[in-house]
Amino acid sequence: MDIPDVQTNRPIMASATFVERAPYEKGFADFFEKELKGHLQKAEEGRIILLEEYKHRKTIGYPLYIPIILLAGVIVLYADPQFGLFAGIGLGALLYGWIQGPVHKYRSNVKEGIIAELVKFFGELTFAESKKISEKILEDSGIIPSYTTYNGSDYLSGNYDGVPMEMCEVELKQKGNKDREFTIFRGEMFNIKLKKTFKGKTLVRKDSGFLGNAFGGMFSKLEKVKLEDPKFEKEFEVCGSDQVEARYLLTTAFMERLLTLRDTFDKDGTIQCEFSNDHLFITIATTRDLFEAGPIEKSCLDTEDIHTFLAQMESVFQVIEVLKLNKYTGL
Amino acid sequence: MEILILLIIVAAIFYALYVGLIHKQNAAKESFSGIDVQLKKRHDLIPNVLTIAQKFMDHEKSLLTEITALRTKAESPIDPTNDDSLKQKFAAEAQLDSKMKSLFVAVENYPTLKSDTVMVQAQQTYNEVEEHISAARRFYNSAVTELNNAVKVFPGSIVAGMLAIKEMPYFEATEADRKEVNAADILK
Repeated sequence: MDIPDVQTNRPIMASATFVERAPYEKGFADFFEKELKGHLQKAEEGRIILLEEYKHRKTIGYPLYIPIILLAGVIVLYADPQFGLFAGIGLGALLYGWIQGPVHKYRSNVKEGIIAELVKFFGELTFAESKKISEKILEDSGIIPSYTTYNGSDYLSGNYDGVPMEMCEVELKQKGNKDREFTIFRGEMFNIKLKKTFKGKTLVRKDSGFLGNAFGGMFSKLEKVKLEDPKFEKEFEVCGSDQVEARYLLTTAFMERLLTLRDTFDKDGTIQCEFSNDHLFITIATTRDLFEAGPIEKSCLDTEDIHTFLAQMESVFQVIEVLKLNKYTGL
Repeated sequence: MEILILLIIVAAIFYALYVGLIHKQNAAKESFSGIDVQLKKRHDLIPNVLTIAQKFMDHEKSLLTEITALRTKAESPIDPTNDDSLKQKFAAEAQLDSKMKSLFVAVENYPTLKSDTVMVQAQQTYNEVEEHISAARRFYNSAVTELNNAVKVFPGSIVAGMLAIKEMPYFEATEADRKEVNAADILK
């Protein structure tokens, strides 16, 4: 049965195939056929049912905004203006939530059903929508700003080539004036446990300009590390407790991999990292979601998002490869 | 009164330049000792590698002997403020590194040795040490750049001349390292 894609209006084959385009996708076509396709087709059947439900709710729900607005208007004009406003907004929000119900259910189904299966391609990795990285990691970090609320989700954890790693989507908030909270960080965080132990701490932060760097360095026990790469030096400020160890870590290859990692997630995003004790902690500030389903109108059998996801995971693994974090060297 | 203030300002500038130069010279010496620490690790590793190698490499005795001699020469203490001593030290370490690379290439001709777990581990550790040495050299060159800039640029050059603080040599690749690699030479 051909299913028409609502966005492009072109028919999509009920039986999708995955075409390997890059070396790191080797073997995925086979995995797609054997392990993933069944889940995708099941999700696609569920999507069609939920899409119909969503359209039905929109047909009923949107016209209901008119009586809600009228009712709120009457209450505002003839009774209590404040109550009228709150009632209008409250009822409108409830109605919106009801209309969007099938969309939320679809997204949750995709995460639990497809993404949880997809990550198994990389080996011993598992996915949990509502878990997050331990807050202690953030508290001990030198690259995380001060915050009041930590929200995390879409937690991926396991081993890559023997290297334990975890990552999740994070939102950090800070209280401002009148106790109102505002977002100070939104993006991805990665925590990679290393087979090597580093003596000191090395931080790679976004360059804040001469004054910003000078002010930030005033209260830090870490020394500034000047690197030879002018492009990297312009974009980042590096400081560390051991000048030799910092340069051992920040080779040209690693700097290049770090920038590639940033670009595959979000070219406009900000990447920072920290080497401390036995782990590497990376943050990428981005407004894009990594583990989100596409719009409900778009077919689950469209493999373009899978290509993007594989590219993003490959860039994370390349960071492990270039640092040889998976090798024990006796030092 | 104005002359006194002017003298105080000049003295303050002189003192600031003096302190800056001493800090940079000490930083350069400290960075050199950083290389020394890594080179010591390499020197400590070499006897282990040679012990494993000589069990298998009957025909490479001259190479193994040469490496032992170079190691002893490279370990000799030097005065880091003496330019000639520094250059000799760098040259000796470069020769030692070159011979170790020859040894690892020769290991390829001994399949049993090549697949020996201890030898593989020793090679990985040696490569790791080399990367640390490379990092230490980068730090040394960075510290020397700061010192040399301060020594050569006016008015620091005047203070440096008065205190006999000289530029230090960079750690540079040897001519052999800069030459293009000819695969035919290696594969014959």
